[in-house]
Amino acid sequence: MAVTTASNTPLVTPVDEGHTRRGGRRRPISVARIVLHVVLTVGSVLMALPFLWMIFSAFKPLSEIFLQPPRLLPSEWQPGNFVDAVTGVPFAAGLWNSFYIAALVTILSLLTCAMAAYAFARIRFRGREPLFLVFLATMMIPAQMTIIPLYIIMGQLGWVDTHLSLLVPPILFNAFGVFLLRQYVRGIPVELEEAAAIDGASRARIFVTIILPLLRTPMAALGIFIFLAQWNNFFHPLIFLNTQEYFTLPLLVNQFKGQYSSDWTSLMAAATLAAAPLLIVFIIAQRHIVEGIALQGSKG
Amino acid sequence: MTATVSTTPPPVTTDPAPPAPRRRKGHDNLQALGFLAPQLIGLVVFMVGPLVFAIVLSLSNWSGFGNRSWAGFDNFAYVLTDPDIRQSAINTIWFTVLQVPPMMISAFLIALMMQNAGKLKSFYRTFYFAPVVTSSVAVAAIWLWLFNPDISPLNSVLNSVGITAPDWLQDPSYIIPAFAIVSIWQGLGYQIVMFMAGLQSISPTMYEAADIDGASEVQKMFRITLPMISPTILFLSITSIISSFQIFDYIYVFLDTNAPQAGRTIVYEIVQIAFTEFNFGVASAVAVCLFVSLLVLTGLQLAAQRRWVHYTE
Amino acid sequence: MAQGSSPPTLSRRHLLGLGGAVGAGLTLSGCGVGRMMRGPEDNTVTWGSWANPGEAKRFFEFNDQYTAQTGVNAVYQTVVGDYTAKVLTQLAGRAAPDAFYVNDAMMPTLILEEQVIPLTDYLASPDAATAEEDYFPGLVDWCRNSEGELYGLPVDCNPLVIWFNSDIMAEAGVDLPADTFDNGGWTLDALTDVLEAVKPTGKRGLTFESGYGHLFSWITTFGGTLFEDGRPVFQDDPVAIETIGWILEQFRAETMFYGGSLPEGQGGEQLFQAQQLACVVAGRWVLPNLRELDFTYDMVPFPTKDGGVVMPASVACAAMSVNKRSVNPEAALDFLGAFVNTEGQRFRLSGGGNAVPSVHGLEEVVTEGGVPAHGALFLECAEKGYAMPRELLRDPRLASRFSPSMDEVMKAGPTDAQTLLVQLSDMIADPERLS
Repeated sequence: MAVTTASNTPLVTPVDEGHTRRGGRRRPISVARIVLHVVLTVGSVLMALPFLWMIFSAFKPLSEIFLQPPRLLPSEWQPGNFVDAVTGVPFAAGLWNSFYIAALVTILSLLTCAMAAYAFARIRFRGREPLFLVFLATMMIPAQMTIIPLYIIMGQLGWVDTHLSLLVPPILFNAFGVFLLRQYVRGIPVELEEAAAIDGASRARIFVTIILPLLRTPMAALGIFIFLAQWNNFFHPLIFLNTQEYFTLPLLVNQFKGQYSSDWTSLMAAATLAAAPLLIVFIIAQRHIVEGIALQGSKG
Repeated sequence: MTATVSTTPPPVTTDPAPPAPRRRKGHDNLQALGFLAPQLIGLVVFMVGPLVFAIVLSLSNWSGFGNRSWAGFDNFAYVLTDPDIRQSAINTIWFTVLQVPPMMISAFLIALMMQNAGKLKSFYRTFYFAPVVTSSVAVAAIWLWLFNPDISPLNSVLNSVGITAPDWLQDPSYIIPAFAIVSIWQGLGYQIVMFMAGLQSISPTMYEAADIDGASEVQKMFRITLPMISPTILFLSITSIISSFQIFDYIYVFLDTNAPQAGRTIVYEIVQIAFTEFNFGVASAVAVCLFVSLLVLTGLQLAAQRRWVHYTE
Repeated sequence: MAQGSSPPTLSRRHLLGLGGAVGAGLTLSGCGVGRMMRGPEDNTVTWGSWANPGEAKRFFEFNDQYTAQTGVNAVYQTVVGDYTAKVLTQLAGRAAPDAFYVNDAMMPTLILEEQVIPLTDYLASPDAATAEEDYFPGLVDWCRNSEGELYGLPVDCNPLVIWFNSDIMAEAGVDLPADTFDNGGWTLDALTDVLEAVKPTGKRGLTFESGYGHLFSWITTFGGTLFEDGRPVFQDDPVAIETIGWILEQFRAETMFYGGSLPEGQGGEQLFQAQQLACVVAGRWVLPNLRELDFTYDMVPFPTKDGGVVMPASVACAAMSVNKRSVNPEAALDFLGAFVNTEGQRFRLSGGGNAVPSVHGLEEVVTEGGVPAHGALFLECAEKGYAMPRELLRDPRLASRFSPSMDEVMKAGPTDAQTLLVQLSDMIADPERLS
């Protein structure tokens, strides 16, 4: 279905053609465009429905969550669920913990990732390819498998039940980020660096003055994904943190899912509150994110 | 129309592979070390150390506490012959097949369509991205309800159009597809964003040149669009195969420790064997096997990239 | 998101540690003072458990009260998510709390690997805040080693009972099962009548779910025998064959449904809360949610031969044990005593609780607010019931795989009760047969 529609529409309409179309003389609305919007709208609805169900459920009394036949909108709006959610657990502290951990990890790991990505993309050194494969390989280790030794290491460092256990490992290691940024550094024309090298610039100088500025936008994009991953990180906070005041949001949201039965309405309210900041940031920043991921090198 | 697309032979890329940049001859080991230092420290302390530990465990008998004893390759022999673990491996591959290609293809097509959606582009994009930011426990709560055959609106819709709705989480043949649906739902927005970024980076002048040559849409697709976004495709295929092989969260939040054999995947099996059956030796052996398989698979993808991935160097 | 005024959790100590780590990797800078490196003179007891927000609040209150009474600083760690993984990791890292909750699947391994200490000496001492005799006998056995020594005490419990929707009963025109029980007529025939009357209403009658709890409860409530000399005998027990045969018959008549192996709180319970299911087998844990719903309900024990008594059925149970590596085991034992004893349970379970006391004499907890009407029966169910049998505890695989394996057998469509029971008892006798 989707394939058929896509092939009916002009498969690739470059941006500038769109401009001419809008700016040019009035055209009859083509069938293809209508089909395109119908498909995208249907898709949006399908994608959004479960999400909207979460938001509307957060306003429902419990009896309406189980209503048969189901209804999307609450008949009786009950904002008190949000009060239960933020007072049932130390929500404000959790919000702050999640925010500053995610922000700090994002900023610092972007720097370490960019440095490593530059080395892998541009510097010839012994064992470059095998080492890169080792980096990739670490993405293949399930986190559950290394949790006990990691916990022991954290214990030795005295970092158990402190936020350092959540901050340092992702700052000092992010294979995904190194891989992604390496793809971009490879897209930067090498001539730019050669010119600087002829002028006698050092590697560090080239990295700071040429590479980093060119990587700024993809780093912004990667930053959003790192932030997102940290914001939703559940397993490591679960294992490393003991004190409720240190908990991050995913732990607090999860607390409403009890051992035997769950407080569904508060859970939905807490989950909505946890997702809201990210969605708002995405709505505001989405242009920047998408353009950021665009390969810089090919824009010239 | 699908046929039209697939019968058109992909034209051979005409531009010559760009020469690899070699700024200087010789190695810069020390400088590389400087740039790599933070990530190398992290790699050694937080990854390689624990990995070595896991490998040692895979050769031992260990309950999680107390003394370890040497097991040689017994754990591996058990892993390779145990029918349950084999079934879990098959389930994992089945999940990957159901999840990775449909997700990438639909993300690509939706991204293409969104490029042409004009002003509504960012409006659509927000909807497709909303599931990405939703926490997994909420996702589970929502989908448990959607998958419950007696109260699910999903099934009401299917029934109303004459399709017998399955009992998603209880019918052995639907349980893996159910997980694939949830994970596509949650992951699609991310891949759409990645593809849109790739598409936007294609210079309009390339399409203009093609228009002058009188190229058809299909030709433009295969000569320009696909080669130009091939780095994105490689990146997404490597990372999404790795994460689909590690599918665990959904199964755990949906089924807790009670997942039937038909719904158990490799990482679920690892966690169960380690943390509810207290057999860390066997669990580590399974993990090592998973690790090696992914290593081989990724190595193959990287080796094959020279044939199809186009870098703008 | 402006939380700038919140307490700065990123203290200087953290920042120093961060700088040290970034700069010198493994160098232990100023942050290397772990929380668990405490000396015996430290007057603190740490303890951990799973908890929902309401329970966690109550536990913090319990701590405050305990600290006020004893001067011992009680520190609570709440675990959300995978409890076993967390505690196991803590134990392996030698940083587990002094006292912690243990579920039935973990207990045998913790005893065998000597991770928890025996309570014998403590219970024999004159200062012990609790005594073994206080606890319902069927709920203690799973905390013993093979010599009978006790390693934990049940913090509370949750007997399986049958909850029913009174509105659906009225619609079906049958007496409420609880009334039938009061009149001494709550037998299998009475249940059959209820289910047959419910069927024309379009609602479902009752589900039977995978797991030892449901299976064993249906057998023992009619006087069937599960094990003899450590081996399963229910496959040859005429009562068991008859009862399970009745269940299979109900499947065919579509008055009962197989509910699968979904975790607690889902499957049948979700249907019951959606008013699509007339009766459901569950513990008192469903009560907080039921209180918020708009239909009337009550509970009744499993039906019996006599029709007016409570017979043994399965009880979900968790215990508290003391960590072998506790730096201050005496303080930890004292805390355990105060936590699990009658007073401790009264404090923890009153006021909208979701569990049943595991000790005598706390009727007011289960009759609170008169909801459910027959709540007092919970105590009798707990008194007569049994936690996970030792025969299932001897191999951790049984605890983890019996339910999904039984699920497979059930989905394959068992032909008759005897074959089904033989298949299930074979799995228990020989865990290699688990799938």
